[in-house]
Amino acid sequence: MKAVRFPLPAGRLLRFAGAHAVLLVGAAFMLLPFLWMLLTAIRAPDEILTGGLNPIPRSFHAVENFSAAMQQAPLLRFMVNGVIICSGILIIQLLVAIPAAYALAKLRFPGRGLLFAAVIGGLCIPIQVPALPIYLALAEFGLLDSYFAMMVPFFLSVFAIFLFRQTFRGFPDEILQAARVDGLGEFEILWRIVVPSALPAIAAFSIFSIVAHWNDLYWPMIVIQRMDYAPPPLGMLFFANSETGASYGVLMAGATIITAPLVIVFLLARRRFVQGITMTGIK
Amino acid sequence: MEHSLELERISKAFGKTGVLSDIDLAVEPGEFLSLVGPSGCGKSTLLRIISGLERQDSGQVRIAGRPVDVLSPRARNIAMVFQNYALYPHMSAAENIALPLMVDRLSLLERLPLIRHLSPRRKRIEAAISGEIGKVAEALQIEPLLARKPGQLSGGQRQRVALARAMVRQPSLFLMDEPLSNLDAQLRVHMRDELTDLHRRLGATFIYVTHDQIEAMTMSTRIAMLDGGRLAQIGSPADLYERPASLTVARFIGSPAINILPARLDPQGHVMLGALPTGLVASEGLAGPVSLGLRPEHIRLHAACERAMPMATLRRSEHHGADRLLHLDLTENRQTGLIVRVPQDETGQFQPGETYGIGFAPEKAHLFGPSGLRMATRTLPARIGAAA
Amino acid sequence: MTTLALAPAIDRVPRRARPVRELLAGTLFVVPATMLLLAIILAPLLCLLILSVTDYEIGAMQIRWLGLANFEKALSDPVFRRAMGNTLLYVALVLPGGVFIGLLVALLVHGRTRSRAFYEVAYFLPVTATLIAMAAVWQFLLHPKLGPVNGLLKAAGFPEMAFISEPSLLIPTLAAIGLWNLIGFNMILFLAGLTAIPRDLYDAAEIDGAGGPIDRFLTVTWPQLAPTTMFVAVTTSITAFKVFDTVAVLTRGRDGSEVLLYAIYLEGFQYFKIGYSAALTVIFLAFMLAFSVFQAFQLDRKVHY
Repeated sequence: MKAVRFPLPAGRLLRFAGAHAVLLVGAAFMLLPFLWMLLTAIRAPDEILTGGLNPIPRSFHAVENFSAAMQQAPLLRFMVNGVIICSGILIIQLLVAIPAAYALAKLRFPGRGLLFAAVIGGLCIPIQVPALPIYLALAEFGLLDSYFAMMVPFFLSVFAIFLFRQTFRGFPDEILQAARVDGLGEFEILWRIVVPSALPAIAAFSIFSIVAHWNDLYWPMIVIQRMDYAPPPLGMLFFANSETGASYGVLMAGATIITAPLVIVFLLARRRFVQGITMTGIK
Repeated sequence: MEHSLELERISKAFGKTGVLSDIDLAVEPGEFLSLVGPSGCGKSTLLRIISGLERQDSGQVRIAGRPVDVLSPRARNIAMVFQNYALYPHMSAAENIALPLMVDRLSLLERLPLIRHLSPRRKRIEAAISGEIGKVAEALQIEPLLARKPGQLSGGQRQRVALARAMVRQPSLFLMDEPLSNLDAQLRVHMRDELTDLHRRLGATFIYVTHDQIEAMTMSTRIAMLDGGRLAQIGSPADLYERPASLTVARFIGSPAINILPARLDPQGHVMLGALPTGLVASEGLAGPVSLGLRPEHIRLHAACERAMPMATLRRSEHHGADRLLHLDLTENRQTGLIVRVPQDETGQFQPGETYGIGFAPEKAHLFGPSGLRMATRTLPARIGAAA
Repeated sequence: MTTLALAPAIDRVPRRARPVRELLAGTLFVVPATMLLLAIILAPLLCLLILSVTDYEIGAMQIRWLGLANFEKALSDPVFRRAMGNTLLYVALVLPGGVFIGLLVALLVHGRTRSRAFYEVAYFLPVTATLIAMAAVWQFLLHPKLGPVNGLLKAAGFPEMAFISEPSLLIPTLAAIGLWNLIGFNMILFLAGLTAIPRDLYDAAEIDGAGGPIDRFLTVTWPQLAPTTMFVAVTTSITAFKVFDTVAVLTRGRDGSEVLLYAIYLEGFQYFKIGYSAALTVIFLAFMLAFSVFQAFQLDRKVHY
């Protein structure tokens, strides 16, 4: 009896080719802005103005464009601001949300139902809604144009409380009982036992929070007038305005610098990143 | 009469790991054949190859004499019941059961949302289908459940709906992939009964994958045991129990498991337990280590032994209803435990801590060579260690 | 007698020990969150509602109660009506586009094995990029004279298009950039949904004869993805309602690109008409809440299986 072997059927081959054709066209659309940004950032100004579709720059002008971008606007300063704001927000969000979520998930205390209802309600309210009164309060106390002003509306993340509560609820009660029998206080139980087991959820939320606040424009635009406090998006806005489009090469170099950090983090930690976005997105 | 199913030299590998090699199998119409084996032995893969969900790397599958290797599952005229039932959760039980018939009798256009209302014959066909569903539902006693969704059904009810979906097309071949493993113990016993009954009523061929040897023993007309991707043995339940072809089969079939004692062949072919002859002679084979298999019910314990016998100490005695299981340790070789099944009314004489002689009828013993394969034996007229 | 008197006391001590401890810890743990909740969400919300019925402006000497006058004014103001219309048009373009293109890409990427990582990166990259910087890039890409998009159009013999100056093209252009920004996110959500579909169901569909691509999709994929699709639709529409960044960079809200958030921003933080802006915010919130209620309602319907 001779062995029967099966070739790849023609239909399957066709579907394979079709899928790749569609995906490649789409991917080109997704990547074109990045590509053009990079290409323009290393082009000479005259070449940009004479335009054309030639993707390969004739003369290499990267050093000039990037150094001009760094000179025209304190791009590094914007990044440092971004790091300060994102880390400040994240740390306080975690410190506030984790104990609250644990209490909502595992402890009984008066007002628990009410607080949880408020958290759920808070999920439906984007920052743009309380922005006006918070702005008035900050103005009243002379706190505009500060890191604090940029961070304060985000100190409480109802989303973090909700996400962590869901995670903590799955934690087995027996282990908590055992820890209590062993004489651990609730605070120790939380930080030594519950938090380490919830690290994936915390990492996921952290990624979500950093992406959201690194890229946020609305709130900084409201409370920041002075460029030395500007986070990257606001800095980019100042930068784009000051340039009024005369030198697109420099503008693109600036855009490259501003975009680079998150893109690099994403490329380095793709799995974690996608996992984080998915987890926070689905729950 | 042609075979209901024939497999010829089926081989399959996933990447570099071989899963099945050279499986030959022929199933007669109306058989209930169980594919058993430890997990990872390839039995589910084999079932998926028969169904067409998976393609073999080489070899041929014939259903009712017709090669089906290039046919889709649908064209093979088979039905399959899955371990988790695989009912479509958004459809009612009736819709689940109807699906194979709808696909069969309506064109793709007639099944598309909205467009389907344009078909003049759809109503008539659907009415016929619901009549057939009614019949199947009656046979399985699930008529009251037809409007419910799978989420509203218990495990046993889902099982029946999955069976109905398989039956409704009246296939010649039913494939079942551990269909009872998600049920609780009591329901499993009950469904075992129902499945056997169903098999008898339908007269169709059943191929049944299970890792539970009791299911295979109680339901099948024949059992095919797979081990490491090869067919270890095929035969009736009695064959596998009474004449296991290898150590693996012997260990897998039977509960409690068979006792395997280390033994030796002397140069004359006599099977020796330690220094004692057993009355068993290997028909062939070299001197050296062998394994002696003894079913728990074939061992007799002797309190007072006049002849030389292997000795064992009773460690523990377990109540199993009509029987009692005695756990003993061999005196000669303390690592080897021994389980003996004794009818309840004979147990009074055995006390934990006491030492007893081990006796057995040599013709009931199984001999396995160093490779694990069964060795042919004969018995000596002078029986050693056998009960008088 | 003494034993009888003691019995309840002994009984009570262990029963109360845990709740007291829990009560203390629980209360302590939620104090910061509760205070922030009051300060950042609830109190501002209350203020907002109050402001929305006043004519408060920064620097104004006195505040007058206007009742619902702000709302009446907003709903009859042609600029704000255009902002509402434009926002709804934007949502109407981005919502179906974002859901169906995201689903299509996810379905195609899900079948890939070796190239999956590449496509995931390619489609997800815009999600991580700072939209404001990328909006500047789009501005350049779509530049009538210097941009490659118009270059391509001209090369293909089409007239050049003023994507970011012709009013009727503004919202579609912004919607295209919005889609570019969020398709990757939706794709990832759909991919997660697809991974969660039990393989058994596809096997069963194949056995039942529903093994073709359309049958598989209709019998298994689409019904199984229903909760994911609902979630994606709601997040997409909320993101779309909040369109702001691209408007701020590309058009600064000029004629043809007025949207809700930019209108709120201008009235409140540029012209400092706080009371009026608060009323606009309340209208904006009403839109968001309507969608949240819709989501809750839809999710509720899905629970039964």
